[in-house]
Amino acid sequence: MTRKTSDDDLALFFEAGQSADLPDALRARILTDAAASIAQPAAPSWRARMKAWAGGWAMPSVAGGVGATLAGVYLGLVMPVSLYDAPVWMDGALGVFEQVTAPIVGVRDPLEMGF
Amino acid sequence: MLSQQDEADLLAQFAQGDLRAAQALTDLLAPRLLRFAARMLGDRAEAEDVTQDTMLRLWRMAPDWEAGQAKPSTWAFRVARNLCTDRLRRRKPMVPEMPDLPDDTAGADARMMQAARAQALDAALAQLPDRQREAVILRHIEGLSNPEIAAILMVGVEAVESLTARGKRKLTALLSGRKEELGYDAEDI
Repeated sequence: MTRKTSDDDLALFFEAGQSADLPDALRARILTDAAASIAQPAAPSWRARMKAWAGGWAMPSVAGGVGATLAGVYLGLVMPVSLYDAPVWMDGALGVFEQVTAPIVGVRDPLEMGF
Repeated sequence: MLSQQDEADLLAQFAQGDLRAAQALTDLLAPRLLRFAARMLGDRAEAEDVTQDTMLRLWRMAPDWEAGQAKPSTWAFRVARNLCTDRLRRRKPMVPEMPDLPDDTAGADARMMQAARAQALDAALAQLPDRQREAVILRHIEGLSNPEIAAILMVGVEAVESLTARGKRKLTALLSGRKEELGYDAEDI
């Protein structure tokens, strides 16, 4: 007859295998790690990092949007006004604009071009 | 054994700086992780390294832990299992060492017998295929539920049931001849 170990006997073996304790030295090392983790400022989570990244882009985005809007207003509304009807500051601004565009596109004075 | 909520609460307390919660989690998880790693690796020193590394990852992950995730113990066993697998891939399999089993209350004879039984169990476990060994240890020694084991091993619950059943059958065959020698009564079957 083949002798077999029953489930109950296996349970006794399993019970015998459960009795290992945690060595004090290892426990101390683990708790030292835990204390160090508490002492250190926690690394920001990925959500916090994403929020910071988005926040970092918010200010340049707003500034860029405002700049683009002003440039659009200037080019679309202010520039077509006759130089003689424009305020002095605008004349100066057009002068600067000309300095930039003339070497590039060859336009010296929009009024001379018939605009 | 603590519930998922209890374990998560302890982890949340630790994340807020409560070192007593860390002590409670260490006493709860580390001995089980150590036993598991020792049986998987067959090397006590490596098992201690794996246990410490797993707990360190738990501490680091604590601030990001979200309610509703798996139990912290399930997460820790999965990490420990992956660390053991990494180490096993880097070396040939060894016969497991017997974990030290200090027990001040038992007499010397009882301690020796208990150690011999655990050693027989370890030797038998070492002969099981890796996944059967993992499933049997987690189910019958660490007392995890089948769904928890399924989450750790990343298989279905039915696969866990099959692995533990086959593992137990093989263990039964391996240990059948050692029952009387190890002090278990011979009245059976």
